[in-house]
Amino acid sequence: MSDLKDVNPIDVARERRLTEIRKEAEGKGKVEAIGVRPAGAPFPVASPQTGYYGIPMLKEPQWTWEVPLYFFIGGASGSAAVIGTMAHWTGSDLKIARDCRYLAAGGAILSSALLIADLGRHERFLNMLRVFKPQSAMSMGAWALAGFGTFTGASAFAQWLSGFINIGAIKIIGNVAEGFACLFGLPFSNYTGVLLGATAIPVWNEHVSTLPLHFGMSGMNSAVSILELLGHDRSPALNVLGLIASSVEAAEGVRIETNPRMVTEPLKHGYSGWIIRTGGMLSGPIPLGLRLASLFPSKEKSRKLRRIAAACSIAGSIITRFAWVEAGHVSAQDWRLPLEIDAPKEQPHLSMPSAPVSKDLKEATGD
Amino acid sequence: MLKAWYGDAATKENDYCFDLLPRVTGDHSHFGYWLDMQDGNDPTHTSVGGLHAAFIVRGDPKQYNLPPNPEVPTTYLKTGWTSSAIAAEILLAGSFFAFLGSRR
Repeated sequence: MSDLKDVNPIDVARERRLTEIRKEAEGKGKVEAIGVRPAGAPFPVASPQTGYYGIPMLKEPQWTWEVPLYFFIGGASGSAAVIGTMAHWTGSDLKIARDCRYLAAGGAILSSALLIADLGRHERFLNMLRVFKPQSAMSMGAWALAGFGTFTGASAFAQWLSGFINIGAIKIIGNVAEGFACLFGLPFSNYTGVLLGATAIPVWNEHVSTLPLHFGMSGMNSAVSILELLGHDRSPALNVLGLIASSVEAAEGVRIETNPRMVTEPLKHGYSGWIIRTGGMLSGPIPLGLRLASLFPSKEKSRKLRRIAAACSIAGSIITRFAWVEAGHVSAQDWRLPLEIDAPKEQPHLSMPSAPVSKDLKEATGD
Repeated sequence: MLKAWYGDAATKENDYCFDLLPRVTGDHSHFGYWLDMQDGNDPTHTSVGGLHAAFIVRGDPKQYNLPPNPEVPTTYLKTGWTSSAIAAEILLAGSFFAFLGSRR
């Protein structure tokens, strides 16, 4: 230290600055000095919205409101076709069979309309029918819808026509079309679960093994409920189906709530969590309880209970679809999941500066 | 020498800061990756599949904002359709037996 005088004073100043910086680093854990400003600086700050270099790591679904509504209508009409065909073939309830034909056909028309409206440019739907791609659930769904629409339309038209003209051929055509509609209705009622599950959106992907079941049962529940509200509220078979569907839905709700993994956060917290829960309660435990209760009291009361259960199920089914799409949005914004970073949301990502983030985060998570 | 580097901070108790010295702790050469690939043990192998290019990331992919286990979502299609088939079966069998049972 004694020979400092001989040293170049610039070097001394630099050494001093270096010591300062080191001290600052030791004391605070980071250096506040401006540093070099590379092109593009200041670099984006990590947050669920901008976690991955200022852009969301995953693309959010670009779906508009038509899509979840289509999920609901498609699920309900697909299930209605199957229920109607079974009611017809077993010869149990021909009125249900008739109503199911109209329901399924109406649902198919609405579904196509919603799906086409969602595309932005309507002629794109023709392009969807130009390819047949087994590894794409969307392509499979488009074809299922095309087949389903054709056959439900034919069976409903035959049903309507047979009200005026009594020709055997029309009935046969109607019955054959009904059979095919049932065949297409089976995948059509729940393929949307596969569509969501086989994506990169973490929360959907996590539930790929139960989402189709969840959506399928939700569709069955709403088909049963619509039929009940249409006046079939004395059919014991429909009540049995409603019981099956709502118990599976209740089980799925329990499964979601007890899954401790970080992926399921959008299903439990914030806005998306609450609508998931609302939908789950309305389509699972509440109708299950009401339907069980309806088994015991007098006829009038039991019909009333079933009607309430039906209304709850329909509302729950619609809310569930919207809630899952919303949860997908939240999940896509969460950069921690694909990076497998097991950190609380408030913690800064890697070594990026964190100061301005926390407020945005709180707004985003709603905590 | 450690005294010269770390000054008073280097004491006998902390081994004169010997542990702070940078040193080789294992096979850090990139050569091992190539050998692994030759043997078919591609360390970067995932369901994402071939880009026909190799990128060697030193250390943890997370440090580079890269996903450590990238996956192609279509590998889950089978699981999804299995569940879909189960749902379809419940719907079909459920409604069949429900209506069969309620037949008069």
